[in-house]
Amino acid sequence: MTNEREEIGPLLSAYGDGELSPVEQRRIEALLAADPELAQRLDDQLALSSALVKSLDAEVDEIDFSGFADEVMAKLPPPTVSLASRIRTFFENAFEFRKLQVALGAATVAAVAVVTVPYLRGDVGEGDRIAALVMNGQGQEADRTASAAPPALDPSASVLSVETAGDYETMLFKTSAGTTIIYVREVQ
Amino acid sequence: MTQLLRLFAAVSLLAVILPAQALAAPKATVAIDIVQASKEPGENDPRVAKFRSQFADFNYKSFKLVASRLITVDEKKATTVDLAGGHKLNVTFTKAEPNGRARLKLSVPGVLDTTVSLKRDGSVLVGGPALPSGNGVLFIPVTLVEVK
Amino acid sequence: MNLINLSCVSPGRVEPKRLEIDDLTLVRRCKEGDRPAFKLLVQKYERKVYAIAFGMVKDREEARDIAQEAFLKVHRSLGTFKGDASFSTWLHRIVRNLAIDKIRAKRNESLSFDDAVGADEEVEPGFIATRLGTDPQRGALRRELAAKLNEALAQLPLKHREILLLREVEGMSYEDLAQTLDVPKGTVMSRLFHARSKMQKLLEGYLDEDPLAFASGGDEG
Repeated sequence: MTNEREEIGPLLSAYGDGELSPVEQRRIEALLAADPELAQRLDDQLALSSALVKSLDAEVDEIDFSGFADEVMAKLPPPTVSLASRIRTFFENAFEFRKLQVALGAATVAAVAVVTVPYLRGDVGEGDRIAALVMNGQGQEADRTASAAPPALDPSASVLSVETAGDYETMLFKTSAGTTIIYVREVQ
Repeated sequence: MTQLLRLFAAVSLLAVILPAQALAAPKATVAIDIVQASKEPGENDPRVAKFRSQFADFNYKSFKLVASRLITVDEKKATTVDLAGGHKLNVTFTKAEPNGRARLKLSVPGVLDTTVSLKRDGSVLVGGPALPSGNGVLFIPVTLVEVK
Repeated sequence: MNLINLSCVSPGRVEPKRLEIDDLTLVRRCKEGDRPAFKLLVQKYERKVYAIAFGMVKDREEARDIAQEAFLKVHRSLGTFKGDASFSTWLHRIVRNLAIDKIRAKRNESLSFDDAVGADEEVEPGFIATRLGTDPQRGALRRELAAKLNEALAQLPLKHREILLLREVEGMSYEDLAQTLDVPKGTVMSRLFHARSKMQKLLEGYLDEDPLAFASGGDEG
């Protein structure tokens, strides 16, 4: 009897979980129909299952999760971009920028030519001279943006200007780890 | 008449060039971490470990990560991040620079106004705004994630 | 698109098994760096993850820490999730491992089957059901009974505690349990049976103290 109970026990448990094969299911159902004690054991399992779920639900209901997700998000590290994505974006940006440069350059040359050539030929008036200055200004801007980035102390980060307010003074330096730091402190 | 036509042609070309620049409308994504540093010894926040080498030159003994923010700013626009201790950080994406760099203006009103140029993944550390309690200062690593 | 299919019908709990389309989409977006998608995942699973963690460690602060750490670990390890197991199975494995680490760090807890409750001892059939009631629609469990249940759970050996929690709280199938715990399905069946037997034996002691005090009935005031 004990051996049969030991054999049936796990099967009964699995039957309650809906995890038996159809053949095993029918076997257990036949036993349940014939053995009231077995049916009571199944009732015990279902009651325990229900009570356990309710007790843990009750515990969870007492917890305030309103800020939980935000707390997790705050602990995430800053996002990094994969190398492949960076390479792709670099070429996209370079190509886009190069297209823009070419377009700017071509348009500027054309505009300058429209105004300057006749000017050089000597048949242009005041209005044309002003237009030439405008065009040259644009051309200079295009030239500046087309050049390499201004030389920097730190190739990844450069400080272009610093102003402090109130009683603060600023120290600008690179740490031994290579990081650019803008450190402010109150003047005593 | 001929001069007017030439002027008109030049202005028309300008009208084509300038909108072409505006079409790109880049955005800069910037990661901002807010770290409280104290001269009192204490438990170190493990999330600050990645910044420790940057703080090594200072005399602060314990660090706590108050918050991490990821902001996206349009070119020529600004956004504000609340720091601790009543301070705020205004971040202006001044302009997109070549090779994915960004020029950013960082200001802590009443304290500091600085313009930096960062390349992708480049960062500067703004440090020093004191906490009202007097127990420490803020360090704010600012990292350019990308310009799109 | 059929998003729901039911497991085998049986007198036991019928738990709808949701196809993890939503989770897979969220995971894919998370891998692409979509932070709001990750936040949605956290919000979707925060309660269940906390429930498992609390069931294991029985301490609210520790359970909350474990739950947060589990999500951070998920975020760090997203690249390793291939989708061969369901996301929830993968997540539960992480929670379970973190909880076990926490318990091990606190004390030398035996992880074996050895325990004081003999395997052959059985509760009188129907005793538990009579005391607890079998009607799942009945109102909330009395607070004292919930506390006793948690106490009994805490006394189970860790292996039994975790499998009972994953099955009862998460409704995990035996196949998912086998994957999560890295044991054969037969072991899952046997282990659950023993876990339930021991739990019932522990509860018998509590319920015997005052049969009237713990009788369930009606909503809690």
